Amino acid sequence: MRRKTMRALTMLCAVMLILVLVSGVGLTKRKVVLVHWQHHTPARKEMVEAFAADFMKANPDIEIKIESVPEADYFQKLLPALAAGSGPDTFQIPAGQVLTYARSGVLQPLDASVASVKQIETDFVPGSIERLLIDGKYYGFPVDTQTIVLFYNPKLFKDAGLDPDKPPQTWDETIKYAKLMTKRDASGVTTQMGLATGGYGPVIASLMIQNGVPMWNAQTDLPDFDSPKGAEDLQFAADILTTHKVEDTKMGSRWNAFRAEKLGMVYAHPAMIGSFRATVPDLVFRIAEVPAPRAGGSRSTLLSSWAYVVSAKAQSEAATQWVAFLTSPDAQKQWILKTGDLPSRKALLDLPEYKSDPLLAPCMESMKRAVPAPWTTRQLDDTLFRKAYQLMTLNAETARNAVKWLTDEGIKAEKEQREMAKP
Amino acid sequence: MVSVETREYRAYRLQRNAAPYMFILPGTVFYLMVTIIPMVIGLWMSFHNWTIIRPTKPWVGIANYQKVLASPVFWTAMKNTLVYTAGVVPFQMALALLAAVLLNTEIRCRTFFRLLYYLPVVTPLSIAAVIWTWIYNPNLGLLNWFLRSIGFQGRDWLGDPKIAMFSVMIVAIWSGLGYRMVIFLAALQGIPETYYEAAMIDGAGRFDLFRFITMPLLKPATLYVLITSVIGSFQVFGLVNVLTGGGPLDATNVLVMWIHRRAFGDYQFGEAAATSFILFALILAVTAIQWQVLGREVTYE
Repeated sequence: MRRKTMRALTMLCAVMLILVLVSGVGLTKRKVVLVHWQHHTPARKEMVEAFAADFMKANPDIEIKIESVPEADYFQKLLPALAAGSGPDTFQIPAGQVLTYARSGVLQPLDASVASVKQIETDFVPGSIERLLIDGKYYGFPVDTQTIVLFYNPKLFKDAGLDPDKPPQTWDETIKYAKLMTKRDASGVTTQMGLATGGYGPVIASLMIQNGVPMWNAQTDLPDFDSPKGAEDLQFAADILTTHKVEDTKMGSRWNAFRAEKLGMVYAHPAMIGSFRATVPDLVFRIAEVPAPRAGGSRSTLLSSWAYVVSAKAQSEAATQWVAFLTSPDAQKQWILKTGDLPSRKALLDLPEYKSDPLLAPCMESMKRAVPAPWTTRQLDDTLFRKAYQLMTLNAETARNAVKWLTDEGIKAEKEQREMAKP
Repeated sequence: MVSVETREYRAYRLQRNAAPYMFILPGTVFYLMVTIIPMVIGLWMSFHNWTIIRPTKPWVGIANYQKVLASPVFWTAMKNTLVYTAGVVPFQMALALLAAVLLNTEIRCRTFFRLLYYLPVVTPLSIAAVIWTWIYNPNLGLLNWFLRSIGFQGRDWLGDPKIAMFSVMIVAIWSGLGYRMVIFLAALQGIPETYYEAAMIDGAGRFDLFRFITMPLLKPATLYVLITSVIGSFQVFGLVNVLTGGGPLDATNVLVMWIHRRAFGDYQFGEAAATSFILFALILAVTAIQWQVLGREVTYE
């Protein structure tokens, strides 16, 4: 009898416990959990984690889980995860890739209740959002927005008898300054370089933009660099190394040379501000807009950027809120200070604190003039330009042949990418 | 009573018959999951336009194979892989055998030298790459400093397409030598001392001992090292990736690097899978030839 009573009481307790749990779950509002993937540098990781903490404080019903992946492994992890449906809710991809991802169905457009098309177009620099608009909807917010500027070392300018307050204005002047700063020892080994491009794709593309090369054939709607002007620009980049010999690959990394004050001028993304500050805090350097091809010429450079996007499976409103937070005016102010990412919000470009900052002012000006890449293939972001440059510098190929090769390979890559982005 | 015994006996027999299968089941399942099933899926992929993130993956037959075989970069990568294999495997094996023979003799600090030769095997690739990048640095590197000090011109070891592959091969030989040396060393220590003593009584010299006793008895180890080294060389990726990234101008672009680029850089997983199966067929053919030519001569007694 006693045993039966005990059993009944135990059963009753168990049923009550289950009821309490079930009702508890029903009454409590479920937290939205967003998994965010980011390719990282230490500075970037720290910042995104701090942003996530602030965001969760302001939005207690949303939890952000940050997974920071080294850039070298980023796509190796991201692509299989997206294909398997186990990918992140929010992540970053190059802006040119948004079309392919969106058409593949792995992305959803930004939630219009959080960020309307009109609002985005009012707030952001047009070039930074051009690649993010698909079928009338925005699929991401711009991040890691970069142009090309000229970093220079004022000490090396002075040592060469140049005025650090007067950076070069034209390509000819740049070469002249670079020659004055280049040093060699008795055996002819370069001990100090005047100028470096590293054959970096965005730098060569920027030279083409400056010289008026459209890089795009409107009739075929495909890449086109094959013109006398395109050849002239590639020749200019190659001559820095081969004819003027003011750059020397034997000195190793141009970044290390600049850090060690063994390089006078270097074409680079403003993001290098953060890198130089983090690695050599005492390094004194200055920034100028890129020199024009000739007096009064263009200083426009290539605008390259990534985008924070929302995966198709994510909770739309919460995910859009989070990526909007990451690109909010306050966040962009922190990005520029800590990583050198340029703001893509129009309102920030003319802030007095940036206009009076000698390092940031030229970057802001370059941002206003920057032109986004017309292509979508990642191969044209760097690899193919670099190869065309190497064909000239290592294989002694002519500039016309190199731009012809660049056009052919660019067309092939763009067609392949377009095939993947078919609706 | 009889029926109970029969039931028990049947259960015992079943248990005894099933036990071996149960023992190999975990290993088999693991092997199926990580090797066989992915291979089958890979083969399936190679006949489809498989761009990983697109939900539609249309059947394209052998089009991926045709595209791969028509690509000049594939043939460059194939040539580079063959050059790498031909340059690394014989030298690495010869040096490993030499080191093993030397370290099998009674020399001073033998353990230290064995450790020294094996150290590159356990050195992480990224650290090895940093060290070698410094050694190869055109201006500040140890190699050019040495060459200049004896009156030669320095070279851009990793930046010059004419010599970049050679520079990578040197690092590959250095990094893989220790592992092969250990295998040869183990095989050398398995050769009975009495064989040498008998031969010496018959008047055999050092070279005769090596030629007529050591070499024949090392054949199983040599065959193993040869086959695994060739397979490893055909599949090289990490070393090239950290040292040159396949450049300059594809001078060090090898097949696995091209597969990786086509898959994760260009999203062409179907084409990458087709290239993987071409590489698989190549490795299979080369291994079969090695087995046919050298395997016959090998005895394990």
